[in-house]
Amino acid sequence: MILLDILLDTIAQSGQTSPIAPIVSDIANWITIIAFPLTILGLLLTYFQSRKSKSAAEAAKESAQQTSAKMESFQSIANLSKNIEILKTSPKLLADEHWWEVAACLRDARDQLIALIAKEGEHGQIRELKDLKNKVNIDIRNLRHKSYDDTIELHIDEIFDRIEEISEIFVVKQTELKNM
Amino acid sequence: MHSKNEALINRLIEKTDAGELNWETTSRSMQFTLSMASNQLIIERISAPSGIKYKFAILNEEGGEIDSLTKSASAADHDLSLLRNLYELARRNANHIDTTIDNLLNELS
Repeated sequence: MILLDILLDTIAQSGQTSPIAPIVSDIANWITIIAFPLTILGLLLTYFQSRKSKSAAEAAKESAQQTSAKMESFQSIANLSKNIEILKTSPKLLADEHWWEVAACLRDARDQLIALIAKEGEHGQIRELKDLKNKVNIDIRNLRHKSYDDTIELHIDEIFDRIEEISEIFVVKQTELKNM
Repeated sequence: MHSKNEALINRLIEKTDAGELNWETTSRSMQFTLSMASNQLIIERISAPSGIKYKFAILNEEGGEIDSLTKSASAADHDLSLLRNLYELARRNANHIDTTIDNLLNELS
């Protein structure tokens, strides 16, 4: 285009009427007509390409988040499994009056309950979990006291029930996570 | 007793007496607990060889004791009177004694 413009300018400046001037002018006009849609097409292609790159970046981000959530979920399942196994040993320890060891098992379970409460946010069975966590806190305290003062009267059946209740909650949560 | 602790115990006595709080029994005899937003309170009667004691404790979220007050029943002072009063009210509240007696009175009327 620039070359054609220069050529036309040179012909105009020379003041002579060149036989090729109209042809050059026509070519220049046609090129302008063709160039316009090509420019529009180019802009559209650039726009769609940038959109494609953006959605690819978003997809990558989403995939990373999903992977991270999956890993977190695997970790939670593993922690729940560990605590379910620990709780399975508790009734025997309780029956054998190993107070301090039962307190240790319940401490792990309490920490798991705190983790579940944090995950639940303000939804789900938050009230139920908090109540249970508070009861377990008192049980831990009482079992520890019992370990060095045997005169303390404990309602052992309540602690057996609590162990069962926590185990059931952990099993349900574990199943929920596995099904996610 | 620290004035803040005394204010707290007096408020607990007031609200428990008005039936606005829900104390609960625990796995230990003669021990009652109240769950607040992030703390737990305990009032208990301890039968020790040295005699009867009343203990009030404030626990954090993980059950750790952040403050406590123990008074021997032989002390016979104002602090003991407060703790004993709170214990009795918590016991009646946790065991729903007043409601049960009201129901019994209704049945008998």
